[in-house]
Amino acid sequence: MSDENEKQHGDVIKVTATFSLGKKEAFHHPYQEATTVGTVLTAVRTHFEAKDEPNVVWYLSAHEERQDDAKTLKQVAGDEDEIAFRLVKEITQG
Amino acid sequence: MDRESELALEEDEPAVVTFLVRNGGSLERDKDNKARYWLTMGPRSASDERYYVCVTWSRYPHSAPSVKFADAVGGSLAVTKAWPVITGYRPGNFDICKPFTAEGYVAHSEWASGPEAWPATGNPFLWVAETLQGDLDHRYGGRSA
Repeated sequence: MSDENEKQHGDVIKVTATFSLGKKEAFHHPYQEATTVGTVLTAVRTHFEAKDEPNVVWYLSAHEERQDDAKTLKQVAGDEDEIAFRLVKEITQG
Repeated sequence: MDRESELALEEDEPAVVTFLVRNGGSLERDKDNKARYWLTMGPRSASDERYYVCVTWSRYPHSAPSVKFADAVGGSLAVTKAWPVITGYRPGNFDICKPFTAEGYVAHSEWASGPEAWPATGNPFLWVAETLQGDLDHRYGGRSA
């Protein structure tokens, strides 16, 4: 019984993303656990209208670490069923 | 500093505290100057290293802050050893020549508009803290001599 519940629970991961410079409220969306971070990054950037800019790198951070676009949400979440990402705008110019 | 800036900083400060604490750092507001904050931070790759960043705002959130490294909270801003080695950080000039500091915008007037323009939306104080932490985590080359 508990195994079934865990399985059902684990199929979908609730994603939240915030952006320090965002004009909008936080991004919220459920995703299948096989979804990649890169897919979520695209959606989060669209939500916050984060455009490509010269000398700027955009990425998602979770657990205070930069998350590789190729990772799945399951890999990022571990045993949890939700992830709180931060959209990071990093300046490479200097 | 004007009252509007003071209130806006007080509103944005808690998120900065949360971010710094999660990264093993801390935030202190200067006792004598309400426009000045002292951030204690460290690079992920060298957790025993501590850096003390003096962030001084003029008009918040409308203008970039002065950002300098000190040898302690409330300490001297003229010690090259207080600075990390990171591209764009200039210990010899005691400034950061990147588009998130007042010193950077003075050195590069062309950054006033376009993609490098100062972002006054959201919580720019948190963004400055994130930018500093990102540089320490991903571009750190040791302590300056």
